[in-house]
Amino acid sequence: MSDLYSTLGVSREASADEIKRAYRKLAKELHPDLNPGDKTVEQRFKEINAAYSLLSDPDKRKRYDAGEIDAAGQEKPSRGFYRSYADAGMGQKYHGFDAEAAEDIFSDLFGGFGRSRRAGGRTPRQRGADVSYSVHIDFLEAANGARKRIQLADGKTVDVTIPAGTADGQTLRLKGQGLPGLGGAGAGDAYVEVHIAPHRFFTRKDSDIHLEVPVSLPEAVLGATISVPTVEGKVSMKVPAGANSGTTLRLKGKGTVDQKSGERGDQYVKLKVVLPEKPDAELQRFMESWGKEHGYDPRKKAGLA
Amino acid sequence: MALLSLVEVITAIREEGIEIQQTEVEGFIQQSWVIPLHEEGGYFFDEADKARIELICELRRDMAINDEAVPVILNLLDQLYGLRRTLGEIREAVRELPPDWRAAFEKRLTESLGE
Repeated sequence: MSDLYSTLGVSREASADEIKRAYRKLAKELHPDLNPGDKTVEQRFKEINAAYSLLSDPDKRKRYDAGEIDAAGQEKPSRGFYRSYADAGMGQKYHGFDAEAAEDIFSDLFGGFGRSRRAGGRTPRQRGADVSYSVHIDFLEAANGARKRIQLADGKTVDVTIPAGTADGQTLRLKGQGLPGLGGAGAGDAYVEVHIAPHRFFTRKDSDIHLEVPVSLPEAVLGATISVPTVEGKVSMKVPAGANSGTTLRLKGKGTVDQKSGERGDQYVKLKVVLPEKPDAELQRFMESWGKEHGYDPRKKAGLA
Repeated sequence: MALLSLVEVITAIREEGIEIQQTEVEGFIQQSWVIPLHEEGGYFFDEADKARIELICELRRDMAINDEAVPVILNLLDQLYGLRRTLGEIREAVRELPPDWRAAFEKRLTESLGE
């Protein structure tokens, strides 16, 4: 491990203020989110971060100077930087830029392509270019299917049918809705990439829907019929007596449509037993007497004892 | 991937060693620096929202960027990431071109951008 002072580029006698200034300067230069294309900065940033977190603490700095502690163990837990999500296409709601917004760059690339050719007098036959759009829909629209209106580059609007079971990142093709062709050739196609926002409590794995549902202690011990949300609305579901946290029940056919087979997936409901919010004296008394007679050791069974 | 509530996202950020107050996050939302899902009176954050909050904290605290300048930086960064995305799409489109078109494209780029 290299010397923390040299990591920050300061002398061992540097004042707290100098250390802070050196760190700020390096952080501005090396923060991974400010350098989206540079893979090497992340490690450097972690190092200066670790160096600063030790040297900015007077007590730790004293002990480091005295050789009592070393630089190890100062690194903060690894985390996802914003750039990794932004580059993966997440957080698109923030991105104030797309091909349409960059009209100044792209207009002559696509729209003017034919014009300059026509000026030459001869129009070659050429199929129109394909164009790409993206549409944002919510989780339930993707699960149940929806119609979305999008505006095309030429100002026309089209209604796009999002089929039930559409996956995040899936591309829909609108035949003939791309740019017009030249010399009588056909128009290109429009491709619409679908982005699905995550849901508060549903998650999706292929055509199956997963959901965690809290149940009360009496419901778990005695069994109950409870109301559970599905992508199509609420259904009632039987919780068997003796159900436990982690018990997963299947609601057959309550998932979304598998686009290949056309069959509906299932919904998996994972139960979570929740005790009353406030400790209850009566329940405590009952547990005391019950526990004496019916002790059990779940940790032993799990191999943790 | 499930979404995090306001309290959960604050806890997760603190666990990564970044100190943050609830009022700060609420301020970020009010300024539209962060746009979580807003539903049933609560806010719900995805991973990108969380990483964005961490970035804003580091801009303000580690780099001494003041609150007037934060939106300027975020706006430029958003344009940068949007551009990167568009460039990525152009790269994909170029990959699908016939080989001789690609070669011509590469030649033209090498000429103007250098090595």
